[in-house]
This record gives sequence, structure tokens and C-alpha cells, in this order.
Amino acid sequence: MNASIERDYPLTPRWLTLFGWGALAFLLLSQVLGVLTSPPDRDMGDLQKIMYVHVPSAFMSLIGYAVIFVFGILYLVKRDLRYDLLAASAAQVGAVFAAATLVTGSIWARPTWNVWWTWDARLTSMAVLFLMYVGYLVLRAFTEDEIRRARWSAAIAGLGFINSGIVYMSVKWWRTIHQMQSTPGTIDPAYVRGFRMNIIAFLFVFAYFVISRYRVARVVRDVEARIEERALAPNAENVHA
Amino acid sequence: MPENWLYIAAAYGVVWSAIIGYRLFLGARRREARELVRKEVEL
Amino acid sequence: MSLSSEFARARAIAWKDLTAERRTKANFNAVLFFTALILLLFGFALGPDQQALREAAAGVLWLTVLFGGVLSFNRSYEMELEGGALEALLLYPGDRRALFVGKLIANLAFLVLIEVILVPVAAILYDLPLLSGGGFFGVLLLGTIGFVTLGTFYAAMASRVRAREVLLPLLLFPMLVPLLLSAVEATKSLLVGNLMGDASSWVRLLVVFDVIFLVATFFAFEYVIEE
Repeated sequence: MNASIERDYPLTPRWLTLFGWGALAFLLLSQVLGVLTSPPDRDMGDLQKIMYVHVPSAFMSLIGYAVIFVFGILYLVKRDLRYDLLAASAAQVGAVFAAATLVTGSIWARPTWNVWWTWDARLTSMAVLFLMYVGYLVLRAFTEDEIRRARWSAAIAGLGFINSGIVYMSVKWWRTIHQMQSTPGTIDPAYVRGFRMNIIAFLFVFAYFVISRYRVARVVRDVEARIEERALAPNAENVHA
Repeated sequence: MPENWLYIAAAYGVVWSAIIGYRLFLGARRREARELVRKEVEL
Repeated sequence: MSLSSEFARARAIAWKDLTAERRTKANFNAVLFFTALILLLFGFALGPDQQALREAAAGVLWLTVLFGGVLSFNRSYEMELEGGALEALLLYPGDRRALFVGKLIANLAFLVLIEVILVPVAAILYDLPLLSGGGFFGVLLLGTIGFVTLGTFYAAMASRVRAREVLLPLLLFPMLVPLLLSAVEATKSLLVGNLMGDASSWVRLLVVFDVIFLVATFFAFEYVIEE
């Protein structure tokens, strides 16, 4: 008679806890290695080290939207609400990383170009992506019916995914015409290893967060469905008890 | 440029607070979910 | 159902919406005066230097169109929701996308009518050479088509939840960034006359944007409306 939902579908199965700690350890290792082993950049000096948090965060926000898009399509094809919950979990985590990308981008812009904000194609597109995340999450928060919420979210994610590419291209174009300062384009090969490690480490953290969030969402949904079921059939409860 | 380290520290601080912050948020959601399960069982 | 009968359905819905609008006119007049007010307020905020106003005019005009449009899209579904008419419309046989096309046409007509009055007002207030060429009107129409397409699509969702007034712009405006950029840049180069060569590439981007989202919303609408 103990919590059967938690027994059938634990919030934190042992493998997930281990995976979480492993991801954290690998992230710490990658960050320390990245900071310690990178030589000061010719143009940016030590500021280059910001890239080990800024660029992986940006990657996670891009991957996050792609994940929402894929799970949205999967939901529309299979009509299984679990895909919708996965998409919603990825949206929440992706939005956090998008916000972190914006703030670190701003912190980086200040000593590099002496402004807190630059209308650079990547930073500006990231701001638009962040707003699309916010729109997605707000629409979910305001839509009560779960089937309708799932369909609408998938539709929004599809259009947003198409749009993100067009936004980046158009802002880049706009910028080239106005000829403002350029972004540091190429990456020195000396930094590549640190980059790769950090991106993989962020991917692990991202996956841990999405899986954990999804399991919470699923348990809550299962409990609510059960409560609703019982409310509809009050007699069955007595038999059960 | 020593003040550069201030910006570097700020950037790392932001991303690590985001990660730790989300983990705490996750912990709170887990506690809520467990509470919900416990209540449902008691019913 | 044949294609021509679907068109007839779309046309009937557009006609119905426009007739309802014509009967009351309240919404049209309110949006029109609101947009004129925005033009005036931007003038106070940016003026009175004539040259600075002309430089900013393209951006101001497009933002005004966006703010006016976003007020009117929800309305086109709210009319249906009030009497439970949307459910009734959905019960009719045939493709539901005809409903979307009909609403799109009605919204497009509504906004174009607003612009017919708004643009001369903007030309007077901001000293714009409107009659210098037909290119500007082409840009205006292309930008409006893309805007109305996405606006009609998102309003189908936003109009059916709480907080619809704030949700629609929150969903819609980030999607419109490429449209706003290309419409403003094209308008600027056509009206103020700098970098003439640029207008055509921005117009091409507008056309691509319109086509992509006309197709995408047309197919995605099925998932928004099914119940």
C-alpha cells in the first residue's frame, strides 16, 4: 500500500543520481582544465576563458530548442503525452541556459567592446530565442487542457524552430549592411580540446536536468490522473481500500 | 588587466548559479511531487 | 471536397467577419485612432527635428502597424467564442483550414484598410515622399501579409486562453523579427533613398518569409484547431 507510483516510477532512481553526480564531476573537471590550460588569447587575453561557460550555454539553448521541436513532432505523430512532458522539460532547462548565455554575453561584451550590449547577430538571435522560449513556457502555463496544451506547444515549437534560422540570417545581414564591430570569428586550435570537453560536460548536465524534470512532471501527472479517476468513480475506492 | 578577472568571475558565477539554482528548483519540485504522492496514498 | 468549394468556404468566412466588422465599425475606428495616436506620440518622442523624424519614420510606421494589428487579431476569434460559434463552425464538413484562410483574408483586409488611412497620415507627420514610387506599397503589402499570417495563426491560440492581451504579442513579436528588419530596411531605402540596391534583397527576404510561414501555418493550423 506504499506509494505505488513512486515504486513503479521513482523520481530519483539510483542510475539517475549516479549520472547526476558523474555529470557534475565531469563538469568541474572540464571547467578547471579549460581555465587552467588555456593560454591567454592574443586579442582578448584572459577574457577568452569566459568562452568555457558562454559558448556551452549557447549550445545548450540551441540544442534545447531542437529537442523541443523533435519531441513536439513526436507527440503529434504518436499522440503520447510523455513526449509533450519531455518537450516541456527541455524548454525549461533550455530557457535557463539561454538566459545564462545572454548574461555572460553581456559580461563579455563590456570589457571587449566597452558596451554591455552589442547588436551582434549571435547575441541578438539568442535574445529572440530566449523570448521564444518564454512564449512557449507562458503559453503552456496559461493553457489548462493537457491535450490542447500539447498540440499547441508542438505547433509553436515547429514555427519557432523554422524561425530561429531565419532570425539569425536576417540579423547577420542587417549587421553587415550597418557595418558595426565584428565578433571574434575563428577559434585557436589550442582551445578546441577545452571547448569539446566543456560542451560534452554541459550536455551531460543538460540531459540530467531534462530527465529529472521529466520524471517529476510525469509523476505529478500520474497522481493527478489517479485522483481524477477516483473522483469520477467514488465507489471503486471503497473496494480498493 | 586585473579587472578582466572580475568579468571572468562574474561570468562563471552566473552560469554556476544558474546550474545550482536549477538543481535547487528541481529539488523543490521533487519534494512537492513526493508530498503529492504521499497525500494521494493517504486518501 | 473540391478545392473551389474550400475557397468558397474561406470566402464566406472572410465575408462574414468583414460584414460583422462593417456593421459595428467600433473596432475598426478604435484601432485606427490608436495607431494615429502612436504616430503622434512617436513624433513627440523623437521630434521635432525634421531630418531625424524622416530617418526614424520607417521604423515608427512598422511598429505602429504591428501595435495596431496585434490589437485586432484576437478580436477575429473572440467574435466566434462569444456565442460558441467556433464549435459550430468546426462541425461543418470540409477542411478546417478554410477557416484559417477566411480569417486571414478578413484580417488582411482589415489591416490594409487601416494602412490606407494610416500611411498618408504618417507621410504628412513625418514628411515622407510617398508618391516617389510604387515600390513602397509593394513592401507594405508584403510585410502586412507575413504579419497577418502569423498574427491570425497565433491569435487562434491566444484568444482562447486567459491573459490573451499579453500572450499574443509575447508569442507573435519574437517571430516577427526577420519581417520587421526586412520591412523597415526596405521601406527606409525606398522612402529616404539611401542604399537603393538594398531594397531588392530585403524584399526577397520578405517574400521568402511570407511563403515559408503561409505554408507552415496552413499546415500547422490543423493541430491548433482540432478538438
